[in-house]
Amino acid sequence: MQSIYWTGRLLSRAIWNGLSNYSACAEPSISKRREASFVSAVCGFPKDFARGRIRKGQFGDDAWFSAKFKAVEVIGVADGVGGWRHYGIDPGEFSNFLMRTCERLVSMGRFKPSEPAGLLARSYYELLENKQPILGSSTACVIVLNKETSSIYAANIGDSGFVVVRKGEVVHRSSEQQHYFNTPFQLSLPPPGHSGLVLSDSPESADTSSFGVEDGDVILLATDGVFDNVPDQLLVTEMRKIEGERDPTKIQGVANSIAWMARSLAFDGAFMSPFAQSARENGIDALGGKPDDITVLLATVAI
Amino acid sequence: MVSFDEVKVELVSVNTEKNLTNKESVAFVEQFVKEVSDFSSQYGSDNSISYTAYNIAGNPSKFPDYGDYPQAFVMRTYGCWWDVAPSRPIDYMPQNNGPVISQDYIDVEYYREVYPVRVSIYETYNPGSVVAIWARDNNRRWHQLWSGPPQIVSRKPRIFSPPLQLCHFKTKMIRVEFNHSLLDYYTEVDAILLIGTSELILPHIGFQNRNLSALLQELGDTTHNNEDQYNLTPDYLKINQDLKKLKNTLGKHCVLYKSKVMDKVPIGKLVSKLGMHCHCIPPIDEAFNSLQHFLQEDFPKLIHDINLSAASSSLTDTSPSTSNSIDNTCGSFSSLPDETLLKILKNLDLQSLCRCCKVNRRFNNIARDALLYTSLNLKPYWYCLDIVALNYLAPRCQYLQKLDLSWCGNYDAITSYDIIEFLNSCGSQLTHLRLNSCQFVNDSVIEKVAAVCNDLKELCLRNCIAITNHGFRQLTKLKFLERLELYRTTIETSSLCAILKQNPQMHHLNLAGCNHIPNMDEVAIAIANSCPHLESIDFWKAHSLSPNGVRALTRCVQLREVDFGWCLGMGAPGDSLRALLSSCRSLEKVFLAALRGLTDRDLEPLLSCQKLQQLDLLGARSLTPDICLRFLLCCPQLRMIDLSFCEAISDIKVQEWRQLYPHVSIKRSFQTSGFNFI
Repeated sequence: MQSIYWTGRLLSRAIWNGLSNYSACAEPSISKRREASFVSAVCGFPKDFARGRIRKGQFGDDAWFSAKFKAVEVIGVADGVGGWRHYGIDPGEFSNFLMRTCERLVSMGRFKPSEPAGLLARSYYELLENKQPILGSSTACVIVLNKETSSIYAANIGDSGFVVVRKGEVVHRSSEQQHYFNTPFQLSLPPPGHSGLVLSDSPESADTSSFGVEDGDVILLATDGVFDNVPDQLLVTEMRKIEGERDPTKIQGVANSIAWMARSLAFDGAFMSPFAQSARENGIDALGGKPDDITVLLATVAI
Repeated sequence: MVSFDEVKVELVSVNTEKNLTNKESVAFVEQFVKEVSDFSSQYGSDNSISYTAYNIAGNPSKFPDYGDYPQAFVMRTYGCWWDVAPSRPIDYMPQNNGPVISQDYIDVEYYREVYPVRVSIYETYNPGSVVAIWARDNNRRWHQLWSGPPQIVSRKPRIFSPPLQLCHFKTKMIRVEFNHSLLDYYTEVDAILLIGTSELILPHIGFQNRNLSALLQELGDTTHNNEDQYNLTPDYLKINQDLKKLKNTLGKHCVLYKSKVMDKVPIGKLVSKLGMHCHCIPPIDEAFNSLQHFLQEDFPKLIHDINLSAASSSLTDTSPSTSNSIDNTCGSFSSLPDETLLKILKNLDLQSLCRCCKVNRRFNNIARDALLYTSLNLKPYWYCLDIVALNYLAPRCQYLQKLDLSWCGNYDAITSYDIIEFLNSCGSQLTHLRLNSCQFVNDSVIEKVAAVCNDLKELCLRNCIAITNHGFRQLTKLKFLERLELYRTTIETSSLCAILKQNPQMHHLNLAGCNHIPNMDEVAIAIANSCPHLESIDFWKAHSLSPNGVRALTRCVQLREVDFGWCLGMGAPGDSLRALLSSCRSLEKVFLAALRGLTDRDLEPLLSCQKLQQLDLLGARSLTPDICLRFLLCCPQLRMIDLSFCEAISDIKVQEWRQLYPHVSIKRSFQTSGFNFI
């Protein structure tokens, strides 16, 4: 699997070049045995271009990774909780550390493929082992593909999530974990003295699921910046376009358009977004999208 | 991205003439560590990937970044601070130590066996502590490739590649030893590169003892770096240029060593030994030349030297010989009583003692006297101590009281059975026993120790990971323990509490990294109940210790040293730490690393500890400059304070204090630009 990441800075240039400069991707179908693998692409935007960082593996306070070890491929996203900015804490550090540590754990082989929640938990405990205190909190979602058995193990904490589309239908999706409206489950490391006041869920409380995949399945792994702004139907329509697709450039194109869609809907004040609907169900009169950092990891399964 | 199957192979032809029919070539193999086989200490916890030994595997992940990163291998200690603390271990036989003492080691394994040409150590923080490099062959023998003193070098990333001795066997296991005494802070090692050849290559006959490293030195950049004098790659940007040159001109400089003797002769011990060294024997025409050279130049010089030294020694000898009126012959020893001779011989190291045995019958008798073998430190001989050596020593150890076998006998050089036999014959009088990092220590060895060594006062079992809880339970038979070190062992709560209950004389207790204890509070309560004389306690990385346990320890009023570093369970200590620091008035060393919730108020009682020398406050987020300044002012004995990652204290303040209080070593570690993982 060759990951491609696409930052806002590259956006305009990439459009003019027709994405031709991403042709260096590995051919997925070289493997001798019929092993499953991901062909994936990444796209995203920070909520605020002026302040958002443009660094590998990060879009604003969102972070993502993809890594592999032997017959296992892992992808994941995390969304740093923005409220910490008021305490002088950069929310992006937490989510980024979480994802970078997952990446290291995977490439060192120090995880069990069948226990994605364990991977998140280990990554979280590494935060405590770091000399530099990293504070904040984050939602997270990881997907582990076992290539030999063509099965997927997923773990999710909070309101990031994934959708799997097969033959035009949603066959699997993560369930959202919320304490109450707009307050997802989160892994957190509060500043000393705030422990009692901060929501903190243990990594073991992650929602886990496992299922088999088939050739051509499309998997979308994204942060709430996508799910809160793009209605399901639109997402599925986009994902259908690349069922069975193995050309990374095409997958990149769809990832880009989903991210673009999320971005423009987020700033559309008149749009009845999934977020606004959910707010109404909770008795809050809201309209329009929810501006947020956006990360889209799109992958197809090739067997 | 870290990739782990990195072995670079390059085939280089030896013959320069192209018309030769039998072209010989040699493969140069470059590889990073496949896995870590063993190590003596690490900063991180076993179940973590931060600051642990396993980070040394694979390609460098941080180099050439310089800083305190969790992705590197970090050891437990640095500088002199652990050697001046109350819990410092006392060496049983210091004369055995060479000029440089090794304090830590790491054994690493590679993918392919090669004849080592270069070992490059990627140091990413506080370089200079590597003191020895060893290679191990298939017959469990270790061969020293390099050794040198610890160095003070400038604080920047360094690739350290010392000149290696010739190694005439293929190896895929390397040991690197460290001495931290000159370090200002923890050293960090990112990776170890091994460059070797598939065949043994040697410089042409006549080149400086056929030393390949000297040849590389000549081929490399000649700008000699005074500060980094042992390093063949002082500039990491130009790394291995000398090797590149060597590969290009291999035929010109080197020959392939083929052991013709070895191939033809049936394998006998002597012959195989000879075969290994026969490359050192020059051909006959060269021998003739060198003999002539010797007779013409060196021999007259030698005679001259002998005459000179004889003259000078007779000069110095006149005064004592006249005053003592003893014949100045080699027989003067014979007039000394045995007791005096024993007194003299007691100062000898073990190697010299063994040589003394070979002088004559009298020396043999005296040098084998059991009184000379009451305290034995065998750690400096770890590389050659096997069952034969142990059996050689056993008959002399009738009165053995102190034994340090640390680092010895690993990789099956000594088996558990051997050591049980040894303890059976010489263990009954043991009072001190150190078995740190000994792989042969298992339940049956511990059982033997508990059964035979009834008077044991000191037992050090650091890194003895083969002992199970069943073995530890046997130790409850011991009743006089004063020091117990269990760093990185798998002891469990029940057996540890039982041991503590039986040993009220306990003075020093090391429970660092014992992560099989789910409830350290129970242990702390057992300590408070049974060990009133406790002087030092090490709870490093005891995640399950909570403020309740700390509060219990307030009854150990004689504590001089506490280490609560990384006890994440007491991140917010409440009043417990305050109570402990108020009741223990003679504290000299207090380590509170990574207690994130530490506040000024918790530390206030410590200000009146007049004996305080070392204070580690790493990562305490909310400590203010105010309390730090008060420590600098109020504690006259303070020598070291670690303020790394204390976010409320600015670098400028630290700089200012360093100038104002030069007698205190103020530590301030850093990670450049946050956590830039790219």
